[in-house]
Amino acid sequence: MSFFDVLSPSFLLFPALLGSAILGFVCPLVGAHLMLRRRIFLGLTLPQIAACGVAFTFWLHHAAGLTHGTGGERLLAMAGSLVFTLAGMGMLAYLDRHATGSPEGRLAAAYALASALTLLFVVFNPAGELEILNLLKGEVIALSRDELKLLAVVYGAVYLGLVLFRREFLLNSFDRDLSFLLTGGSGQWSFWLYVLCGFAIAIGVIMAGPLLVFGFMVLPPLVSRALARGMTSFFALSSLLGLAMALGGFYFSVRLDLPLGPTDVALGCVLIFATYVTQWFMRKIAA
Amino acid sequence: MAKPAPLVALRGAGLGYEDAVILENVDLELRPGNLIAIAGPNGSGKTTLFRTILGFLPALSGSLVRNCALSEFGYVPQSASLDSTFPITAREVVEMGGYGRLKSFRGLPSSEKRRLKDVLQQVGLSHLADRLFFSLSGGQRQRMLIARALMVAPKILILDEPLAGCDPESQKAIGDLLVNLSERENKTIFFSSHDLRMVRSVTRHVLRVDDGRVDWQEGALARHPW
Repeated sequence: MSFFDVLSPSFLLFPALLGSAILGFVCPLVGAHLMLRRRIFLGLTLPQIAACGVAFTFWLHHAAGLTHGTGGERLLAMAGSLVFTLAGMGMLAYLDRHATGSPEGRLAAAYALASALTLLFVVFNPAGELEILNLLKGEVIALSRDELKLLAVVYGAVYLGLVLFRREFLLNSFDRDLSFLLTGGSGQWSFWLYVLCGFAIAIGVIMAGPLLVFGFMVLPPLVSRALARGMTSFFALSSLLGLAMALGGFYFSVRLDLPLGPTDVALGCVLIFATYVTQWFMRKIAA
Repeated sequence: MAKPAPLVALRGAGLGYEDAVILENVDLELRPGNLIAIAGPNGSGKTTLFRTILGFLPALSGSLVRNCALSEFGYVPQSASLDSTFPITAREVVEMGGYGRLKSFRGLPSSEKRRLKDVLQQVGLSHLADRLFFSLSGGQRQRMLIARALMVAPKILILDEPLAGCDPESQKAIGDLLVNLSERENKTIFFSSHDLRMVRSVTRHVLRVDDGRVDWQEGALARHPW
């Protein structure tokens, strides 16, 4: 099976490929903004909190005596992911303003707690174990057409928001004081940026799992940061590298029968390694 | 001839944070065309004074009157306070000064492009516009930040330690630029430094801040420069 066979619309897994491409294109833009704010670990912690929300709703569904796969279980999981993500983000923002101590420490503690709770909810609900395992592996293979539509709508809105208000978000991230002087309040732009990030993470996690979402959010901007010569190229390159990572990862995943999430992330790491090695050689040659 | 109204007036103001008063009983007026420096050791309250004037902090007591909008302040922070993670070009940094006038999701109109070109020429760094901002020297970065403040089309420029971390050549270029802006364009300029000698090379109107008080520096122009 060639690369182009996999990309063909007639290919059986085409919806999954599209879903993966959408995630790969939009998540890096979200990650790039978090990276610029030195909040990239939010990109690790929030997907884990979202996964915890999914596990919680599966457990709730099981505790209500409903059979696995019925009674709007998937919709409930989506709501759980969204509520947990937004609540987690609100809580972390509140602590950033009012608590002492290191923000990184709080993110690490929140990550540990969310991971532990995810596993505990799964233990209490054996029926949800397979679903959660798929979520953690990052399986978008089973993406239905309705889910693909939802992903396209939410991610389209997030992407549009980040592009249309790029100046406001950039100014707010780069120099909050100037943002306050010119736009009359810097807090509102931080709030809207985090809301967009929250939606992208919550929906991304329920569709593809925390590993894939975090991988797409972190790896392409890392490569792009090393290559970009300006903010426009940084954002554009992040999205394009994410897209390339999604398509390449999908091909290798199908071709070699590997789980998609780890394949994408491994490919992203290869990209980073290749970029830094090339830059190192270029510097040596220039010297 | 009547004196122009002050753009900023502080009267008997106490400045600082909720739990700590840093400066007490501050009386200060900034009028159009003034070029005033404030000198004092690090941590003496210069930045607190600026942050209060710019509305980031409230005055704890006394009064603070601004006769221009906050969007008419051109603020130059210490370049070290900006995050070098950003792969941002000098042009993109300077453009930010015009963001207050731009509608969201529109491109940069030609009037803004012209203004951008003008302010870059004014600071003498047009040739470095496409370089990465954080690859520039300290002095060049500082001048780019002054260009960004000019891009705002400000009535008043507030500069926090604009001469810090610059080589003597850059210090002279920045000093000349400030004098030029004040004399030729009648801009109000208020800047800080911890180096009194350096400040005196730029202006004779020097405030001294120390031990929680702000006073006109002895040997500077008598009490008020206006």
